[in-house]
Amino acid sequence: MKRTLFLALLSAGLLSLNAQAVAAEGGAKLTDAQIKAIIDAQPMPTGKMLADNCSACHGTLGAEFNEAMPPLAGMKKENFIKLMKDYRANAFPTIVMHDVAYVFTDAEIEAMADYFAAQKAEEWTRPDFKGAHE
Amino acid sequence: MNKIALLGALTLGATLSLSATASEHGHAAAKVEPWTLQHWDETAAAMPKGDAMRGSELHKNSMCMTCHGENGVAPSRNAPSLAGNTPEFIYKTLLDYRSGLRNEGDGKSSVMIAATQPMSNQHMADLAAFYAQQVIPAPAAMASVDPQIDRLVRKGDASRMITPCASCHGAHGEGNEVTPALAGQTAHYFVRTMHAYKNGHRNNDINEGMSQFTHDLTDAEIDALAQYYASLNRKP
Amino acid sequence: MSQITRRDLIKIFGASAVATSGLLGASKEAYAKSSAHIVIVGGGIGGASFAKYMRLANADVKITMIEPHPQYTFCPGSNEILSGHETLENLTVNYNTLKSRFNVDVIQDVATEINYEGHQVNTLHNGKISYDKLVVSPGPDFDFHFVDGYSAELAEGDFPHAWKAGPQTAKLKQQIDSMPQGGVLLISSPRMPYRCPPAPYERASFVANMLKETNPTAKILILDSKDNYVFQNHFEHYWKQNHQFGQEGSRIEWIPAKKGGVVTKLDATNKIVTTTSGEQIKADVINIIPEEKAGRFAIENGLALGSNWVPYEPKTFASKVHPDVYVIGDMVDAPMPKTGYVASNQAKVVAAAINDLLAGREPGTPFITNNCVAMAAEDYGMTITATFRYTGGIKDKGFSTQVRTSAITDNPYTNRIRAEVAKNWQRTFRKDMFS
Repeated sequence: MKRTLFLALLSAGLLSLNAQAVAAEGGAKLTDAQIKAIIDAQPMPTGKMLADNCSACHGTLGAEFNEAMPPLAGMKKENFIKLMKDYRANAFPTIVMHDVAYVFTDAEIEAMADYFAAQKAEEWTRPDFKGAHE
Repeated sequence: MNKIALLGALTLGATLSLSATASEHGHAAAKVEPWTLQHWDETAAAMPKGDAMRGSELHKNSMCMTCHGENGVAPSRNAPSLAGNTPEFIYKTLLDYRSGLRNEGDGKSSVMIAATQPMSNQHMADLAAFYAQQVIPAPAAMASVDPQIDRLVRKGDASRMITPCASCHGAHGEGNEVTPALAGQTAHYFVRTMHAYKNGHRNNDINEGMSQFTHDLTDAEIDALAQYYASLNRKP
Repeated sequence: MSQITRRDLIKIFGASAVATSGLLGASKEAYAKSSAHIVIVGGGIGGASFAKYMRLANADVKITMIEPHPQYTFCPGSNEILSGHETLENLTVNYNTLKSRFNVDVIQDVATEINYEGHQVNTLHNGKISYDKLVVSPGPDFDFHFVDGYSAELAEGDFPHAWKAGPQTAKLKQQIDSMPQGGVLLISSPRMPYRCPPAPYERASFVANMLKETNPTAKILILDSKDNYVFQNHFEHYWKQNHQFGQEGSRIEWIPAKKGGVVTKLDATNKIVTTTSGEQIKADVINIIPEEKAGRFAIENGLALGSNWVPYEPKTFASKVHPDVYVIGDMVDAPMPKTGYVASNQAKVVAAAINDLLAGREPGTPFITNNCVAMAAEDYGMTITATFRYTGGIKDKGFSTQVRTSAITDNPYTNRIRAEVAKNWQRTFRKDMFS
């Protein structure tokens, strides 16, 4: 009984915390089915549209080579896909990537992998930087 | 060799403060004394016996895996591969991050400095044992080696007082005690490290044992050495 | 940006405007008719991101940015100025790289009026500037009327809100540093929505950590106009461990709205605030974070359609007023938090949409994230990841929300590395738009 009560309280606590977070973000909690319906109803965002969301941490075009965060520009496609799928599956502890990756579909991960694989693996702030391979 | 003897004499007896912490921003980083050969010998002798199993757990739970890869083979280029490197090198590197002696600036070392703060010497020895046990995959067959680079590696360049890389790092880049293995290392990380030594951003080597050889290397030579070691098979 | 005072304008334009306006005027005439001219109002995170990503997408368009200030100071990181871990100088960037490398014509001027049908935006000093596409990103303005007796003038004086990094941040730091031993800092946290939801608590946390060393008997009183806030579990966890939160003698006290936390009145002369419960509280330093609304430029040009925030077409962030005018950043009435991260990603959506439209293509599906970090201390970070997917409908303003926040953990590595990731992010983020 005690244990059940404790668990009930715990889950109520988690729910209210979750509700707070959702309130702060201004949205409602969606089921997996609802999310799938939203994804299926629209054309997939381009690899670039998805990948440009990574730039705040990994640098413009994923080409920030001067920080501790790993650059993504020029990363091998299979490395990117394996890592993102591992993050999505919460295969090992990470700081934030498992919470970033869980929203992406296989096709979206692949589109981002293609995009980053096509970027030049050099620091983008270099004066002679040209971006993607010609 | 003269350089080493002189510096060794000057800094003899200096101790390394392991309690000092460093931050990339705001506070002034604590001043940490550079290594002397004697101090390293004492530190190496006092290195705890590492447990690879415990190291494996720590590799996962302290987030090392995120950048250095599941088996110590880095999936991206900013972080080095650690698989198969020498326990002494890994141990000393972790000590140097914790003390703030290794701090390349601009945020390059900030995550490693933060990640090592909670670590005990035992933790570091455990991680070192784990990485030493991992195997770096054999690279694809090496393309032809520029004879000049081959000479630099095997014979050095007396005119610039550059000793052969292989004399410390091994004929197959396999490393030797505190001197790291280089074979199979991420080329980008190799280049970054050499430039950090060359430009004085990195000074955790013992008696400037590495940095003194980088000052006269050209950028082209550094790039070529990076390619050479990235494609060198540690076990021929 | 927000809060352009008469004094600002004189300070900025007094001497140099006459000398430069002729030259800038000439360059306006010289714009080739063949390539589209895109004009941006506002050079903050939204405007600067748009300028750079527009250029990366299209080498040929003419891009002009109208921004009153010669420099921009980032808000992310500015709470750490209060504890001495960060400097205004380090957070301040200029427009040189946008000008030289990304070929953006940055005009130091104030945009005043949009002529929608004539496709022109009027400025104080450079006259009318014609555009093919106009991107409006002026940020928010502060709304002082919720607290009787508070005003923009008081904020510029002895009651800095410091909710836009700059001189007010330095002033607030100086006030906190010179508090008497055992003094009280009062922070009034506003209702949603406002810029960077966890920042009032991050501010309290950094200041408390410093006071623990410099003024250990001092107190921080947070009067909240809300009943809960994002990362509340993290902040309370950290404060319990470090500041006796919830116990007698806690360094930080938090009063939610339902317990009378809403500040209604400021007596500036006596440094006393009045709350909804009628209580009067005196403090040594009073930091009232005002409510916000869309910037005056957006409101006066009708973009908010009579409300306080600006509605938009979700697929492209085109305004509801005219299809060639786009709206981004804190002023937009999107179901997203008002953060720089969101503003920069909205900017990328608009850059892609405009580039598609100029090429005669249908704009693609937008995708926006807010993967943000906050800190309770230099060694305690927390993360939130929010994903906003375009739904195609009008429900929830066109976007669905998926959100996760980081869990509280006993892993000693996690909190420290999260904090380092926060610092790393701040640096990379600044470079992503200004380098």
